[in-house]
Amino acid sequence: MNRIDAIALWIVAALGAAVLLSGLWESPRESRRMRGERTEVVFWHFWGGEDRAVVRDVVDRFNASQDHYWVRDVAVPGNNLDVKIFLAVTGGDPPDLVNQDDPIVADWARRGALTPLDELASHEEIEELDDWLFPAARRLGQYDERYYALCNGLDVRALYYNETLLKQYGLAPPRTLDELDHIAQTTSLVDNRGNVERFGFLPDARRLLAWGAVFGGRFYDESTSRITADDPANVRALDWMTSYRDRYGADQVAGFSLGDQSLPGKTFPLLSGRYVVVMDGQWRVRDIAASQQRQRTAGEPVTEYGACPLPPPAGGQSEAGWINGNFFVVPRGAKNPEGAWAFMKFWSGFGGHETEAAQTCAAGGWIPVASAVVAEPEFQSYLDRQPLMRVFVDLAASPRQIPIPVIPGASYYDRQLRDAGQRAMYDAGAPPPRTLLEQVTERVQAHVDRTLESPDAR
Amino acid sequence: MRDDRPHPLTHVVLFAAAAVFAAPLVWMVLCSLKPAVELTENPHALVPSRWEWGNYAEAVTSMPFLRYLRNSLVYCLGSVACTVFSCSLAAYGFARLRWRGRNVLFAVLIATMLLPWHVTMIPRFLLLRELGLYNSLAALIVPTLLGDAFYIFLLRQFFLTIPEELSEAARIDGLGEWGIYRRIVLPLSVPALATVALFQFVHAWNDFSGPLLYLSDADKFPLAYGLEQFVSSYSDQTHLLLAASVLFALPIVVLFFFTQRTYLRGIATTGLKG
Repeated sequence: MNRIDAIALWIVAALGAAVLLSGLWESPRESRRMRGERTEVVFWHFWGGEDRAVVRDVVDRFNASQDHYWVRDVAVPGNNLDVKIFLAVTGGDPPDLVNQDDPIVADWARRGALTPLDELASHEEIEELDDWLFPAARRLGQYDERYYALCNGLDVRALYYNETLLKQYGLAPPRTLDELDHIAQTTSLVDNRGNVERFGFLPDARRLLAWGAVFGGRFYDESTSRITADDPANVRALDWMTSYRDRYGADQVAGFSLGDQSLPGKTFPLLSGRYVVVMDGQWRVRDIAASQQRQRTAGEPVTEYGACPLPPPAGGQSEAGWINGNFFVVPRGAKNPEGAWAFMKFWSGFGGHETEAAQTCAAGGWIPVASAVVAEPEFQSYLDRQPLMRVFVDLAASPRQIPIPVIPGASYYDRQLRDAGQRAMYDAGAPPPRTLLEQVTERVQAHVDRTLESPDAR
Repeated sequence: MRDDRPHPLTHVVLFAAAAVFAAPLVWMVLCSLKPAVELTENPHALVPSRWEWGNYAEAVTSMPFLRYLRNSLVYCLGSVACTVFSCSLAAYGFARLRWRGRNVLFAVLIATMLLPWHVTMIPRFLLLRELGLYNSLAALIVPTLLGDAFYIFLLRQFFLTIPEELSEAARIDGLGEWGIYRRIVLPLSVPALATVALFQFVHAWNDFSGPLLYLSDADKFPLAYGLEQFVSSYSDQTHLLLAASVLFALPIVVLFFFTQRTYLRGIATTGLKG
């Protein structure tokens, strides 16, 4: 036997031994066995990381709560759920329930890939749902005046600020846009060579939706079914965002912002001191808590942080902004849609499950979709422990929190708005905001028209 | 006397190039040893403020690591065995047998390399479902029994370099084609076969989209797919993801370390080297 044969043999033997050993010391099974005479509900979701344990707990509580259904959860984390679902639906083997957070409801519903909820719920339940849900949660689930999705958690944005630093400068949290601009100018640090070391505040170029709403803009006219990205209020919002480019220079703004996006994972630049005020979602509350805990453990001074709604300009809207959320959809062809509906209600809190939902939201740090869940003692107790969350929960109830319109081509519209914002802020030679938004309106309207005229339109 | 020692500058250039290639791996290892909060607060710091060796233990225990490892190894070993067998057999047919339409069929086979994977995604899914293989590791292993154009091409090139006289002599001694394939050609092709085996092993080890599409039972996920469990919309566990990624990359590094001589010889003798 030559040397190569010997090496190959050793490798195969080692790998074979590894298979045997890993079989002997097996980890616990991922999927738990179904108990009793129940029907299985296959549930695909994107929750990984720390959230996974929370999902497991909801599933376990549901499975323990009744005798008809058994939920089997399959985690498909990352950005991979779409392709898996489409293949499964095309192949005639879809799951019973899917958790999503991309603006796909209208597109999938129009293609007939989703089961409308009125086929699963009674007429009374649907009417009750209308009153029960927060306005934003209602909007997120409806297309063509029918529910195709049930929202189970909202994602709200607000301004986080470094309170310790603001106090050092003798500044209060911003209540108006002018105050925010003042904070930005006062607390930004620029070195001798003109490079920005810290932004007091910098509008996120991808979030025109949020600032457009704050300026009182609309992005879609439901009465005429027209795209209104070039609404004058939206143009004013983009003008204001672009003023930061004019003040600091497109290269500085682009370099700093793109630097944030190149950071690993979901790093929070407020904690690294790159900003004094920054817009982000409620999930940062636990990052802040973890950072403060680390400071306490290390015996360092603890940095105080706060959160407040996006401040409006004169004539703008308070408590406004961009909202999105997580929602359940039942694919067409699901084998157990009734079981899926039962689980959806259990998770979201609808139909008398408010206590269970409050427990879920408190465990995950998630924002409920209805005031009845917020009012539950368990969730109120959670808010007492995490006071920063209260700002986000209050905003979730606001009718001025708007999602990307639930229309065919919503993802395309979202990308177009982000691109327009990034061009306006990162490119000194970009056309003026009005022109950019007129282009978005034209492109998206054409896209929507084409989509609605396509043969698979319903 | 000619000095065969390389110029010192060569070493400097090679060292710099090696450092560039090694940098992401070094960064991954260092970040895998940082406390979770440090990755959120100060990701630019290269050296951890505190060496968090517990990340490794937590990464292994917070997912069914051994189960995923076993699934990965079953997938890798199964697909390597199937690939080496099917591709070498097909390559033998293209290299050593004369038959009508051989070159045309070989051209068609090579042309299949131009097909993007996405084109065959849905038909392959339907086929595997009809065969009852969906949601089993067999869905990943069985298709490798049907060969792979690149590996067949690679082995054919190697088989063409084996003198035809050896086969002739074997035929005169009464050996059939199967015997020539098994007792003459395969033993002489170990470097090429090892190269194919290594390529396929690495491909299967790293395969993400196959398990994503064809498996829907968490008990059957391989490691490459299992790593995604640390990713979430709200709370990536980046420190654990990096620790698990180091463990995930380790077998490939060790495997390459032990087989690099064979691997390089295979590359050099199959016409892949430019």
